[in-house]
Amino acid sequence: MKHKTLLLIAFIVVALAQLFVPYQMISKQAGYAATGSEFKFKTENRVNPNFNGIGSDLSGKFIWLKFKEDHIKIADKNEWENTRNAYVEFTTDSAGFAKILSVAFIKPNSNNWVRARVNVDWKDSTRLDISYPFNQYYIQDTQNKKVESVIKNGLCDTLKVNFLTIKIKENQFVSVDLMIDGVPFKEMIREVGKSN
Amino acid sequence: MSLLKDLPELVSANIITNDTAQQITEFYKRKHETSPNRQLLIFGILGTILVGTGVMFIVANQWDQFPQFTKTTCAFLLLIIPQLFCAYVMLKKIGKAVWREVAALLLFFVVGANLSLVSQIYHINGDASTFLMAWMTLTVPLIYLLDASVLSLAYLFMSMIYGLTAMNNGAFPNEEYLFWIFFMLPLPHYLQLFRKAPASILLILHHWMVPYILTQTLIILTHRAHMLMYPAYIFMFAIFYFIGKRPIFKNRPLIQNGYLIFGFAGTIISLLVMSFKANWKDLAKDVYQISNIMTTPEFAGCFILFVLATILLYNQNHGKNWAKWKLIDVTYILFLILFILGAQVTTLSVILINLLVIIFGLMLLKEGAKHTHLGIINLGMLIFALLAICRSFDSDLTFVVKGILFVLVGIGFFATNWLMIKKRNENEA
Repeated sequence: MKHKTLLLIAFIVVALAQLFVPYQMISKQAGYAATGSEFKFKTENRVNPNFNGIGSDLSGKFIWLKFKEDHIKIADKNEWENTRNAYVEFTTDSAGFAKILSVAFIKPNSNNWVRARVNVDWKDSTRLDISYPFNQYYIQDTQNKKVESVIKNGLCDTLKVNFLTIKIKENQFVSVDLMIDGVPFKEMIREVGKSN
Repeated sequence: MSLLKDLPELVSANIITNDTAQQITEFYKRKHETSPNRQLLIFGILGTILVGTGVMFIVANQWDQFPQFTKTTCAFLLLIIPQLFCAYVMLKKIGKAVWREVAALLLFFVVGANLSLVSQIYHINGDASTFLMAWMTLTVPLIYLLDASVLSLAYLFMSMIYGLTAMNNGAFPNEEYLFWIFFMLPLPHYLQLFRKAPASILLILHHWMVPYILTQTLIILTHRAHMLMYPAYIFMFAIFYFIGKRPIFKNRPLIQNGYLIFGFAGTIISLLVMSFKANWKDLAKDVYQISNIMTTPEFAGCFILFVLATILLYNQNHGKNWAKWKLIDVTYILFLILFILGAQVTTLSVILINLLVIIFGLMLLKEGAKHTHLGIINLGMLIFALLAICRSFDSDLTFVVKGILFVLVGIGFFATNWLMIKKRNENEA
C-alpha cells in the first residue's frame, strides 16, 4: 500500500510538471510582450504576376513577409556553408528602422536577437540570406478576400513605406502590427471590408 | 491450439495416456491465463491513437474562430483529462497491463499535443529539438510509474527523432550528444522486461527497436572525420551480432532476434558499401593523419565500440577451438586491418574486401550444404548476387564481364537449389 501511495505522489508531481511547463511558456511569452524591445522591420513584398497578383505571399492563414534587412555580405562562404541556424542581433538605424547588427554562431550578450535560418545565396556567394521566424504574419482566414486586395495594392506598393512592428527579447517575439503606409493592417482590412 | 484439438486422437491411438492429455490441457490453460491479452492490448493502443487523432481534427476544424482563452482551456483540458485517467488507472487498474499501457501512451501523446498547441496559440518561437526535449523530459517517468512498455518503445523512437533533429538543427552546439542520455533512460525498463516477461511481444519489439535506433543514430557522432564512421558501424554491427548470439536468444525463432539480423545484414551491407573504391577516396585527406584523428569524437566512438565488441567476442569464444570460430566473429577485426591498410593502398583493400564478401558467401553455401538448409544456401547466393549488382556499377569493368558475372550468379542460384532439393529428396527416400 505504501509503495502505491509513493507511486501516486510521484505521478502527481510529474502531472504538475506537465501542467507547469506550458503555463510557464505562456507567462514568459506575456513577459516578452511587455518587456521586449520594439523594432520596425521594413517589408519588401513585390507584385507577382501569378495568382491574382499576389504570388505566394498569401498562404492559408499567413502572409509571407519579405524584409529589406534579410541578408548580409560575407567574406568567406566556406565558413557558412554547413550552418543552418545563426543568432541575428538587431539595432536601429537613423530613420528608426531595424538593422542587422551581427550574425553569429554564439549567443549575443544583448537581448535583441533571434535565431534564424541562414544559407549562402545560390546566385551570389558573398551574400548570406536570412529567413526570420517572424516572416509569417498571421491573419484570420475568413478575411482572405479582403486581404488579397490589401496585399496587392498596399503591401506590394513600392511607393509606400510598409513595416512590421515587433517586440523582440532573446529569441522570443510578439508581432505588434503590420503597418501599411502608416495604417495598421487590421484597420486597413476593416476599411476595405466597409467599402466593398 | 492445434495440439489441443489432436489430443483425443492421440489418446485413442494410445500414443499418450489420458493423464498426459489432461496435464497438457491444464498447462495450456494456465499459460493462456497468465499471458496478457495481446489482442486487447493491440486494439486498445490503436484505439487510443485513433481517438486522439480524431479529437484533434474536430478541434482543428473550428480552431481559429475560438478566442485565445477558449483555445488555451481546450489545450489544458486535453492534458488534464488523460492525467486524471492515468491517476484512475494507478488507483484501480494497476494490475491490468492493457489499462496501464493505454493510459501511459495516451498521456505521452497529449503532453506533446499540449506543448505544440500552446506554442501555436501564443506564437511561441523555438527550435524543434527544444520542443522534443521538453516533451521527452516530461514523459519519461511514466514508463516507470505505469510500467508501460509500449511507451518505452514510443519513447525510444522519439529519442531517435530528437537525436537526428538535434544533429541537423540543434538549438545549441553539440546538442545531439544529449540523445545518448534520452536513449538510455528507458533501458532499465527494457532490462526489467527481460527478467519479467522473456516471451512478451513487447520485449521482442524492443529487440528490434534498439538496434534499429542505434543504426539510425550512430551517424550523429560524425563531425569532421566521417570516414571513421565505417569502422564504427561495422563494430556496432559486430556488437549486435554477439548480443544476438547470447544464450538468452538461444532456441528462440530468428524473427524474435532483431540483434542477430541487424548485426548480420549490417555487416554484409557495410562490406558491400566499402567494396566501392569511390567510398575510400576521402581517406587521403589530412584529417585522417593519425595525430589529427585521435581527438575526434568519431575516433572515441570507434574505440569504445571496438572494445565492447572485443569483450563480447571474448565472452562468446573463449575456450573455443579455433576451428569452430566463424568468419563473422572476426569480420570487424579483419575490416579494421583492411581499413588501416586502405589509408595507404586503397586498391588492395578494396580487392580484399570484395574477396571477404565472396568468402562470406562461400562459407554460407558450405554451411547450408552441411545442414541441407535452403535458406542459408540462398542467403549465400543472395550475397553473390548483391556483389554482382554492386560491381555492375563499376565503370572499369566491361559489359561482357558484368554480363558473365550475372549469368554465373543466376546459374549458381538454379544449380544450388536444384542440387539441394535433389539431395533432400534422396535423404528422405
